Amino acid sequence: MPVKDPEIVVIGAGHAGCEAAWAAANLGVPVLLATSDPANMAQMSCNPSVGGVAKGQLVREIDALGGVMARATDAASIQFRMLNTGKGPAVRAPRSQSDRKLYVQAMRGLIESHPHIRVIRAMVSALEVSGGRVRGVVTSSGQRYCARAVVLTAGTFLNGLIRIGDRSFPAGRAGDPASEDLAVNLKALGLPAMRFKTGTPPRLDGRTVDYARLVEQPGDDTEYFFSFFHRAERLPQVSCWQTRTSAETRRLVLDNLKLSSLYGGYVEGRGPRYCPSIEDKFVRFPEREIQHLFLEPEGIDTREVYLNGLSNSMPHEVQERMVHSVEGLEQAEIVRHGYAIEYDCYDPRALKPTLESSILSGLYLAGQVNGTSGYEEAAGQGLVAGLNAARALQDRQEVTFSRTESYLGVMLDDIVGRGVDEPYRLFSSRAEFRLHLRQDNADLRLAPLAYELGLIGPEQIAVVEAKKALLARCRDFLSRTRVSPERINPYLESVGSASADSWLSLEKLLRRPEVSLASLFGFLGPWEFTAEELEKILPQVELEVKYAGYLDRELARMDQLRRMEEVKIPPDLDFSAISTISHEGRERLARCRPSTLGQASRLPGLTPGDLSVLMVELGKHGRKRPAG
Amino acid sequence: MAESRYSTRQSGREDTIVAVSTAPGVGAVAVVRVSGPLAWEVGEKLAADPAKYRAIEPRRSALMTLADRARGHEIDRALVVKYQAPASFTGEDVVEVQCHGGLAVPAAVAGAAIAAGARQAAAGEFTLRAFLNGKLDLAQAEAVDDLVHARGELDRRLALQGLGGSLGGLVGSLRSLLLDLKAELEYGIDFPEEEPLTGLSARLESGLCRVAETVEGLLAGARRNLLIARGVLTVIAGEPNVGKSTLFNRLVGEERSIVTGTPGTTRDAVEMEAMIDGVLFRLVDTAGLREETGEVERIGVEYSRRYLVRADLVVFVHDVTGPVDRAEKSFLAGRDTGSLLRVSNKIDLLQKERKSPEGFIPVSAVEGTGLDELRRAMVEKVLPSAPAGPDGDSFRGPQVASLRQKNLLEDALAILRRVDPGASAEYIAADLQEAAERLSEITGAITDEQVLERIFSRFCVGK
Repeated sequence: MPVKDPEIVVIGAGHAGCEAAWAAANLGVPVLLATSDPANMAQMSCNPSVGGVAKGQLVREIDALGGVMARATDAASIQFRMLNTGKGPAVRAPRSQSDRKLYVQAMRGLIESHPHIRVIRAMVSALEVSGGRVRGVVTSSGQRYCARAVVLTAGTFLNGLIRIGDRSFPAGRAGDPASEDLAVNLKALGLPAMRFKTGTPPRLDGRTVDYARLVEQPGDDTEYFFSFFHRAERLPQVSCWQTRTSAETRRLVLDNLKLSSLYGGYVEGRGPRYCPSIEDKFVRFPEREIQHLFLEPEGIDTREVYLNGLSNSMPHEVQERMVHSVEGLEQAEIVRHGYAIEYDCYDPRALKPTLESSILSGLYLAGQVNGTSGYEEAAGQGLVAGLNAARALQDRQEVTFSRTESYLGVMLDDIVGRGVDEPYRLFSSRAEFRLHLRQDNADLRLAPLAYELGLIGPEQIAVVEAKKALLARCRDFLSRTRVSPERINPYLESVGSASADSWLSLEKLLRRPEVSLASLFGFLGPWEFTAEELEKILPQVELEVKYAGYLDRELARMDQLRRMEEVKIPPDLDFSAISTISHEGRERLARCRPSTLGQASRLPGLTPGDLSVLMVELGKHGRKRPAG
Repeated sequence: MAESRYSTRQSGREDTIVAVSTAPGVGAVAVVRVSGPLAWEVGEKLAADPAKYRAIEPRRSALMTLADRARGHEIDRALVVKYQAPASFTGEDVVEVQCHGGLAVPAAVAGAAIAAGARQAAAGEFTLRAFLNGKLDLAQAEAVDDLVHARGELDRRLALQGLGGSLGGLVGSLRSLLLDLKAELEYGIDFPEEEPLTGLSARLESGLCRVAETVEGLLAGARRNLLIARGVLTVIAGEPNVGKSTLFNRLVGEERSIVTGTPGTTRDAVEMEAMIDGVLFRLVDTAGLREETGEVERIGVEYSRRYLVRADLVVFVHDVTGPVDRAEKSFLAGRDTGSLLRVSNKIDLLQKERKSPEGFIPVSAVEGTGLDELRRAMVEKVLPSAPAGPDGDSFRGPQVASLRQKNLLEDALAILRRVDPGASAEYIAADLQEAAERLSEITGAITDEQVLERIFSRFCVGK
């Protein structure tokens, strides 16, 4: 084993744990990655898919920051789709169906080959703490590991409790044991625990599905890579399939509500509104009698199929009847039943923006333990936690991410600043600067920082610099190159645009709604750009030219936000002593402990009066007001 | 610098402040307000009969004698009202004294309050306290500002409507309509695989239309409201010696401009205020408009021209006994008739058979004839055909009461107008968000330091 004395212990090797270990190790810090089962590393506990709206952008950001998720996704992708192609580049989002086994394999290969990461099979049962600092961990077999920092990425394992109908049993995930001792230990250490719940649908044996009666959903033909820097071999592509519930499905669900864990009154934890169980869907939206279901293959060489849309916590026999009531699934056999799972997580308002606990120094938390959901959200947090844990050990400055720069920043600001009251998921609508936070420019936004931090190397940054130069060259070319009316009018006529009566620059032409860069270049010839080059930058250039006004306005608002963010709130400021802030406002501030005025301004329930008193109070503390 | 402004105001938050809350020298009654934890005690020290003062219940007024007990003399007979925190304008304990107006009495009351332990309030301090105690949202705060500036009756009504928060209510509902529409767009963006919403583009179109129309309606009244709020700048213009100053003095109601028979006596513009039917006019008597003249007078004429540019209303005076004025053509060319009144002066010198020209209001400034008609015409120019509401009152409903509100509404309208319904949802959503944010700035739901700074720097002492 190359790693002798770990400096950082990462508890859990899920999506958060892997990124945390990888980021810290990339900074040269020895990492011990503890998992209950290395064969389940980066397991997709729910649907076999990575990316989607906002999440796809986040995966690209993780890649730009030197993370591993995009690489594993590319290596395991068996279907690719670009979502929102009918809309603008800012909200287009890549999504991949993954071969579950290949994903684990790819991730395991990367993690285990890293010279600074040592993977052990162990359940951590307690943290070793002295003097308000974490000093290491103890495993269930009594083994002690010293560490200067610990990253907790235990997912749904802490006090995990699976519920199926009126039955319940402790488990971290179907087939894996729960972490009960560690949950007790963390509570005793003063971490503010909450109870959340999530659920998963049944998996079917694909051989028993009547595909002829389902609607095929093939992927895109285009080849796409989530990673900016690495190229994986393209796997054979498969289709997903769509079907729908019947009147009988609905009747079965409503008639058996009492038997469901959720509606039988068994579940205490809060579930996500955006990912409702089938019970929820039929109860809360009675006008929608039919629900769409999607069959997602779990891999190339497995017959297992994920039945997206039928998440439930009914007893097994009811689940079987529900499945059989669906068109095309009359004979389908369930490989694994759906279930609900409740687990402990901790109020993320007790975290610093670095994801270090403000209660226990040296402890970092990432992923579902922070009340979020989603592989991508977990991975992004893992990266931030691992990065900052390593930098703290190296006595380097902490790294935080702003809402103005990344979805990662949006997520961190949301959860740490405002807290969560259901499993948190990223949406593009959470990002107020989303015209800038695109999947196509994540590298331009974040790679320079990643390079500076040592998360990516010279080879990678060179790729980004080249793209930047290409963009500049293309913009310059468009503004410089003018065409005569004779030359361009046939084209303008063909796209239904008014004819030109004088020489016009390509940029001017491109501003016309009917003119697209692809068709324009297609007509004029390739000029000095290769098709491959154009493909890299086309959407970006088009957006920048056509929607310059929107981008400029967003930039202005970013500046405004940055000014507010520059106003720091001292961590020791006693909000409860500011008697002139309304009672509610004080409570809200004390609970969320915003670290900047900008963060405070986004707190719901804080009146403008409260905010101005806060400003006044900060002024009293001798704060330097930023210029402007 | 902004910081010092906030911190000085803030430094004395717990103490008790006093100020005369009505404009100095105007009105028969003045209001002196004391606010803070010691307000009631300060009031008691002002009362000639402390027992009677103590017996007043909150929000009940009592007539009593005020005395400067330190100096041992009476100040005034005044109405005193006590308000108990938090049920007061500032959210603190408050005593309000309604005493005789003018300069001396209110100053004596405030002085006695200071002697009794209060501190002179800083500019905007009452409103800041109210604002910080959550008693006023921003729109209401501005309305208070306007109320204190208000000298005309109409003005007061506008301000009172702002106080009721009705503009905030209406704007708030527009804002939530925009956010509702935005939510529908976001649904389509974030959940591309769910069933798309039907009829969204129609809802978008009608929703945007509704918001734009409402904002337009508010803006239509805004120009008039702002005119009323700051007073109508009215320039009396015309050739030398046509009787501008005499007319000016008539309208102002006192001998103010020097009136002689020598052309060019009024070398500087003179500004005075006149209240006509509840509308405040800021009347300007200018040097006569004449092309070639001496140096000093030329400066005066230059000054007049500058006033003409800024004028809300021009009263062009012509000597009915003289020749047709060149001035009308050369100085008033291009001026829209909506802000112009023509007056034929000196009709007392007119021979019976001759009439004043068409479109001119016949007046004799010397004899005072025709003035009522002129005044009526002036008011009508300001409140032209403002459509009366069902109950005959055109000022019912939410009103725009400040330039800031007007600017924000205009911004919001411009944003809504640029929405391209054919654009991709994220661009429409960006516009809706921006428009909603502008509207939010009116009600104070979204704000930042710069806005607060601008608002509070406008407040004068004692609100």
